[in-house]
Amino acid sequence: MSFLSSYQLLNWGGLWLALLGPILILAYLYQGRFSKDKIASIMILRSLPKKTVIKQKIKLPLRYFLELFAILALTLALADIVKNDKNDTNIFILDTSLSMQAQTKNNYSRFEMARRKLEETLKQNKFSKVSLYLSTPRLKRIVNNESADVAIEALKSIKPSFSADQLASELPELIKSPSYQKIYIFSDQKFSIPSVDSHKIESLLFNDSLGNLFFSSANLRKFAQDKQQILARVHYDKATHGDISFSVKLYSLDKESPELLTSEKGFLGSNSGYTDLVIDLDNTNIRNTYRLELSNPDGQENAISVDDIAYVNSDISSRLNLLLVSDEPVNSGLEQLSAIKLTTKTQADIENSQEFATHTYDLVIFYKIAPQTAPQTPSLLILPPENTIFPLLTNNEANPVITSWLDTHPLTRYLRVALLKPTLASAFQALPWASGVINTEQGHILMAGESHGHRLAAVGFEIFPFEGAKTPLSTTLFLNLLNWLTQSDSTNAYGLSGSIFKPQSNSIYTILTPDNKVISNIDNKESYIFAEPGIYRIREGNNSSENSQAINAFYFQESVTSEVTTTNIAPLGTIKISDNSTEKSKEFVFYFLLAALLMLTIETLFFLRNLREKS
Amino acid sequence: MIDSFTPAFFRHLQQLKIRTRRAFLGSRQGGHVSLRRGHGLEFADFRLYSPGDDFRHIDWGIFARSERLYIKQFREEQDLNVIFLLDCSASMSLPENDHKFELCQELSLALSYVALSDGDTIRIASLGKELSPRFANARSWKKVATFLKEQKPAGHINLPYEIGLSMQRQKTPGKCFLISDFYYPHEDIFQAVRLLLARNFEVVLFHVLGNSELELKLDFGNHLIVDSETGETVEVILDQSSVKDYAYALADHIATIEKFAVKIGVPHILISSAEDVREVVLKRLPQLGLLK
Repeated sequence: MSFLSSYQLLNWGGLWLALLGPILILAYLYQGRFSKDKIASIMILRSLPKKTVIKQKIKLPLRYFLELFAILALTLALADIVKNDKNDTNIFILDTSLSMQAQTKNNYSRFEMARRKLEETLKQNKFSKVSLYLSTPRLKRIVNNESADVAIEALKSIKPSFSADQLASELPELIKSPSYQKIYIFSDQKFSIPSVDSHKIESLLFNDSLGNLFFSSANLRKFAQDKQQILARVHYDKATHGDISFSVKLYSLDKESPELLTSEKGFLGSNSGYTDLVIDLDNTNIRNTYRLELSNPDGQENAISVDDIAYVNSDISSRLNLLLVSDEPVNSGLEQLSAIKLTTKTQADIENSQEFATHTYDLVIFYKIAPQTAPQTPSLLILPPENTIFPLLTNNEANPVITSWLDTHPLTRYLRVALLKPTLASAFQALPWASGVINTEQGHILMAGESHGHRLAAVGFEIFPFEGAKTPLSTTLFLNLLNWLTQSDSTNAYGLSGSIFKPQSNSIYTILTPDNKVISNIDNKESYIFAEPGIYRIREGNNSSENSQAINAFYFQESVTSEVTTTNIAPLGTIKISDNSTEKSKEFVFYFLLAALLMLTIETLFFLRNLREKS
Repeated sequence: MIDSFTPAFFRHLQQLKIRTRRAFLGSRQGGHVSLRRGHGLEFADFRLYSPGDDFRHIDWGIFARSERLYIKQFREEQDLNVIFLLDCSASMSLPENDHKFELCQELSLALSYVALSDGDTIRIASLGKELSPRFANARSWKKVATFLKEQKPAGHINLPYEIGLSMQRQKTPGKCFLISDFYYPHEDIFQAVRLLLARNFEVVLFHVLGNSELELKLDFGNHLIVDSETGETVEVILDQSSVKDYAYALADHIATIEKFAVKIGVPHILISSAEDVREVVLKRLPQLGLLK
């Protein structure tokens, strides 16, 4: 970018007007050329010392240039010169995640407050170039280097989504981009911003501590054709003095109008934070699609309504896609579970086949082997490792005596210590990604943890073969493991990640509503973002291979509305946004005017001095 | 031009007389002691009596002492031949507001009246133009005025040449008043004066300059200056220092002429156009011994 092209003039009228100045000066300076003075004789003038003439010739053009400079300076000042660098775009990020739907105490949602504040900011500050980004489900630019008016117009049609955003991870990437002047974030979350760039980012925080009742998960278990169970976890994110009661109504969506199947009541302890609700379904009320509606009869604060509804379905597609990796034939007994679609592979199969994608499975179980590298899978279960090269595991088989037990952990639910007597167990040393759930003197024999959004567990004793009701302890532990491991909302076999559907193959996918209305056709691995939670049907290709999927607003971090920290973030309304380009312009004008006035003062002094000497 | 010539001024002029440092031959009887021996009041010499001499001039006192007859001789009083050489080049008309040429006309007229009143013979040579006839009595003053009034400065002249031309028709020496602004090369001025001296004239130089020439009165800035006689141009950028330089250059020019005039014993009188002709004629010239 050249020097000249890096500036722009805001007032061309001022420029043209001021350009008349040099013409007037030239006319003034050269008026002697147009009027001849006749005198008696030039003999004396001709004899003037030549050095004086040269001196004079130097002196007058100098004055001329001073005057010209003054005029030029005034010209540029009038023209309102500003730096026209490409970094004059102001980026505005509007958080559209689920948590922004939280209703504040003044009956406006956080999103509405943020949107209004942003609109007000755009109106009050005359930004020349504006880019507008929405945060969910990925950072998406909807206005690119347009005027503020375009951005204001675009804001009118924006609604908050029900999904989570990835601002924390996407913001550093955006900051690295050199093509902006400043980033303004209108959000209810605090982001860790590199201190180097902190001056280029301003955050407006729209949050106040609100209570919220919400579902964090809902699953359907199938035990047999005539027995199903719905497991749902209900949270309340604000500490209270007493128990919180809630009620859950279960509707069936199989018919055109919702059919109320049952209604359950539950309680949340004042400090427990959540409770798991189990609804047993017998032959009379088994359906395919269900909707759970959460309500708070006691009238507790409930900031977000969209996470009070959960959808579950029992479509064949909802079978758990499970991969069992074992180098020896294994009688897992899992085939008898209709809710599980089991695939068995050897470790060599996985490592040799590049096309084999472990991430298409809900759960990968490594049986008597340990993975060489962490597989791309949402959840991983290792059991029981034996003579492996897994470096953090010991091969210290012994009759374990359980020394500690995490009562509150989901894996130990419905288990009793007295009943769990593994005959042999391998004890683990502490693993970086997991913590001990069941411990012995030798070490941990059941560990669980989360890493990068994926859940992992390792069991140091045998739980196979799965024999259902015959081995209630193993069955309970295994089902606990299955539930806990597959509750990660990262992805699933159909490329569903939260509200985003991203096909895994090049087939054409069609998204339909339960009543066969086509919502969208997707090809070339394009992503589809669901507009709202619900039951959707995903048809793959031209054949009728169809899966039914429940899309839910299960985002724990977004539903928690009472734990936002406000450290170092400007609260609503106190931040003052200033347009740097205007300040630059004013600065330019000031200095040019100063220079022009200085020149004119010098010129005036010259004139007065000459006048005095002349008189 | 006539405004300055009031009756009082005339009366004062009548009392004045042009003074010369030496005697000149006149053409007729006048008021100035002539070189010619004859009847007069001023004794000149003795000589031996010759037959036919007037007895009345015999100095009887010398005869009583020496018994020889001597005749007393006297200087005859004749008129003075006065010539005015008036520069009529174009430069005399500028600067217009200074009325430089008018002053020269008035000066010539005033001195002409003095001369005519004293019985002198005058002639006016308008350099580059024409030569007037001789005027020999006071009554012809109006003719002189008319002649002077008809003169208009114009054109460019070669001073030595024009003076030489005028002198060809002027055979009787006398008093010569050269009136000019002397915007000529020094050598031309010197040559012209020497020419007059060679013709046995007693020369007086009247150096008349406009007031705005003595102190350059042009606006500061860029000027294209045109010479009134030759039409040549010179580009001058005037400021304070260049005005000073002009003043130095003009003073140097005047001083060179003055120095030459002193060297050859010729009066050089610098007159500004701002001066009144009455002041010049009635005060300055008598003080300088040019009039009595």
